[in-house]
Amino acid sequence: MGLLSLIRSLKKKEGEARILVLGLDNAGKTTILKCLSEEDITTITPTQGFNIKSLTRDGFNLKIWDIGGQKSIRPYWRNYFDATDALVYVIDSFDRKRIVESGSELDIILEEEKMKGVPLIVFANKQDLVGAMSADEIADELNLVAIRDRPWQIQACSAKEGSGLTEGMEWLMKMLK
Amino acid sequence: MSQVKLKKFLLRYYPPGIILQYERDGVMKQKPVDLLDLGPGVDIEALCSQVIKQEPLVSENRRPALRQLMGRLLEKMAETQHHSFSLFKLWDVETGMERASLLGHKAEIVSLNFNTTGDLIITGSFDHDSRIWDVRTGRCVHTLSGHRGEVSSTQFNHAGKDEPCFHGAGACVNAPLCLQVCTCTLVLAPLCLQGAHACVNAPLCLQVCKCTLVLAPLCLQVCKCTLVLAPLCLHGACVCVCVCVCVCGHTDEVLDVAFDAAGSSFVSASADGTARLYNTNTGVCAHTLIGHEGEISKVAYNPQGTRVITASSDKTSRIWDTQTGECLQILEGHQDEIFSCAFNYEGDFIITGSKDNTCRIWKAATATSQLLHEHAVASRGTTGML
Repeated sequence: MGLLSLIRSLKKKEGEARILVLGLDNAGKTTILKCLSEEDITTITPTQGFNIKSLTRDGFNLKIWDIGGQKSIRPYWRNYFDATDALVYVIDSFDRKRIVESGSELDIILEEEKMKGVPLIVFANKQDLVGAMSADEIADELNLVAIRDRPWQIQACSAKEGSGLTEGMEWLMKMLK
Repeated sequence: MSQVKLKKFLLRYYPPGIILQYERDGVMKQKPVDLLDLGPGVDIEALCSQVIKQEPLVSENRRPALRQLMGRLLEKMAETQHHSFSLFKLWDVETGMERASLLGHKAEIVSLNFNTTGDLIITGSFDHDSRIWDVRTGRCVHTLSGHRGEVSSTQFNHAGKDEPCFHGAGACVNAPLCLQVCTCTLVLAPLCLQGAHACVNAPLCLQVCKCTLVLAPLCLQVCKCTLVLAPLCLHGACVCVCVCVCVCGHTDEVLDVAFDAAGSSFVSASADGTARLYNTNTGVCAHTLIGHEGEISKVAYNPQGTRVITASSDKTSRIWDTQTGECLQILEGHQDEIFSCAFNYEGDFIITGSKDNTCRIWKAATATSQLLHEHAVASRGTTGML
């Protein structure tokens, strides 16, 4: 292995991807993470700091970073932007009051230089609740159609029931390949 | 009653906090403690007391450890967030003072070279761009984009003189497993390149000739601009589209390129274990330097242009005759792969840098002699790798 390949290997391992999971507090980021790694989701508390999970999917080693979404920790999100291959943004579809706040946090992330061109999947979580906003409604609210600098997708899901997550991850894997 | 024992403190930088690692009934568990209020001017002792009071796991005798951890968190917070590789600094050789920071690249800079007159620098970066910088002002004179992969090597040619023309070469990865080295010709003043009708708007306007590269999967090519087809005016600078003459050769990635002092020939080094000598004007491969048993990561000419030195992962460097393509000598002695090699200005000393953490200086009897003797082994700590 020569110098160039050495530098390259330091940068990124083949078949490895770093996925960042962000969203407001109580959106269900940790629940989605636990659901994906088939862990118990009955006792989830607000995330202090962050959780990391390593998953293998289609031969890909996914390093998933779930960063807490409380207002006090949001300023630290940007410390995790480096070398991100895909962004998962989770939204509480039942929380109509904070959809605008959620949208503006997303806008800030997308404007970051380090997140330039990083594929985005928005999980419209908590679809199991009656009165939850639909994926279309949320897409409108966040004006996702205006995103032209990266591939993006919105996926309705319920982490509690485990629905929609597989579809979303499939799209994500397609982007990573 | 369950047994709880604090085992370890872990530091969490973003957001600032401490993670308590403890053992409960033989099972290791973690508990994060947020320290979001921590910042310059905060009373650390008070914060320590607060943590000790709130966390039953942390007793008073842990205070010194806590204090130390908070100190480290504060240190980290004081660091600038912008510790990217996107800048490199320019130092004054005589005063040792920093003269300018050249900002612009968005990823690691892996290659950097001065031109012969010392007023320009060319850099190659993992952000797929090469940039040319003005040494005096520290400003980016031109960005050479177009490559679809990391630019691993950049070179000016040394034609120099009054000729306001120089070459920049960059390696680019265009398709998986395909790496190309192309030489782009840059014209600095109204000057025609091989009969091209160059339209330059202002004196000192940079004209960039973009290479259209012919791609063949898994094929490695060295391209050279020969023909300027049509000048197009773009943003005040002239961009010319060139036709490339492709000279295939290497069977694996090209890792380094170098011009000779006259700029009339260049050499490429490849992961396929060979180096190739080319004529700059015709693009014809004059010699293939075969012998290394591992990839060649660095090549260099001596100032006279009579010798080429290669550095390889087979732990040897080799000296080659540029006229005949013969290997004149093998420099053996390094314990690990050699990443770098260079001649001194007179061409009578060679220095090699290796992964074994040493640099070795080799003495050549004269630049034209065929035998070189290992003169001194200078093991100087950790000069090796990067």
